Amino acid sequence: MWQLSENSRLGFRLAGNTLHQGFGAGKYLIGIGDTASVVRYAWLESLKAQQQNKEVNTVYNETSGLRPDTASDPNSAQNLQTARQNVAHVYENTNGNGFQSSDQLSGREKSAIKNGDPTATASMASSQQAVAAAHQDRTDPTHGATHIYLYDLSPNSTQRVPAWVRNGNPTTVQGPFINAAGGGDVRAGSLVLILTIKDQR
Amino acid sequence: MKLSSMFLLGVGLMCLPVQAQFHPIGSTKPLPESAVPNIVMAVEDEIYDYKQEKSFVNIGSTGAIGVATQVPIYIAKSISDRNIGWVLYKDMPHGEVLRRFIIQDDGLVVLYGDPELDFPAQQPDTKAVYLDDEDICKFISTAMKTTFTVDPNVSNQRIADAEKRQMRRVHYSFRLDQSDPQKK
Repeated sequence: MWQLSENSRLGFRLAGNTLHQGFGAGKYLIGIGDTASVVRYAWLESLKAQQQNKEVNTVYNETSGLRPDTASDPNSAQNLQTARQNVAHVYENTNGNGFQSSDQLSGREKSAIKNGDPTATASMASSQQAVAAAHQDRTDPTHGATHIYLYDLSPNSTQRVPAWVRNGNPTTVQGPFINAAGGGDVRAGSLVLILTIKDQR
Repeated sequence: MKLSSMFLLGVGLMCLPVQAQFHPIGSTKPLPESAVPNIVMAVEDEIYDYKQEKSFVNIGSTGAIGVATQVPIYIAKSISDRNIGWVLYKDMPHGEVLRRFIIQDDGLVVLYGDPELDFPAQQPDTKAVYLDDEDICKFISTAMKTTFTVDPNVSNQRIADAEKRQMRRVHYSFRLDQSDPQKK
């Protein structure tokens, strides 16, 4: 009985039919089955880790240029963490399809992390935490949002808000955050909001 | 009331268009004329540093087969009090891009957006193809027009200068990173 259920669990249903060939053959098949299950488990775990890495990279790519604007909001750092978590929720709501950007890190960002740039490493740690928190939080504060959008608040902003943003429903808004450019020498930067947006249906 | 909490409260705000909900912060000032060469240089440096100089075939004044080509670039005539401006140009092979730039205290201009991420639609620095045609036409009609140069046979000295300035701008040079023997 144990052998049958175990075989079934391992996906070797036909193994039960071969038991008449003797315990030796059965044990052999179970042995093969165990090895196969270990390999399959490792493969699935590897896929899961790769998927999670893509999600972390996406959250990082979208938000690594942002810095808390503590001058206008003392809770800005916490809000940025929440914003990253919201981005992770949108990733999960769309299986990553809501993002045109790469789910790989660019050479610039890999280099920054490798060289221990404090802002880049902090952004990566924060992105990892955000993805982990989004996995645990099944309530989805973005209410099923399918897009994110960074909205520039510059007074001369010529950012052209596309129709899919104008027509969509913003479900969460975090910010403003300082959008820095460059490798850290820039003390000021553009002020931006992060919106999560749900398509109008 | 804090901006973030104000927005999170307002489910009713969801009915309003995005631009009506979020008001700009700060003031504007005219783009200093002295910044224009540095904006052009930032665009050219990035193109050379990312090895894009051979991607401008059939673009600009000559088509860039063996000779340098002049490519139009449109720069918004005002910048913010944080020295942020906007620029539109053909950034091959990505296509036409609308990007922000910042003028640093030393005059060096840094472009927003990472070319390796290909200027996605959800970021302010994005490809024109993701934007509405009318908005692009309006931007072009109100911006100042100049040109930048792309030479498919760019000299090693010009490339070295570009790498050096990119290191100052973003602490990263694509060419130097690619030629890093540890990565081979």
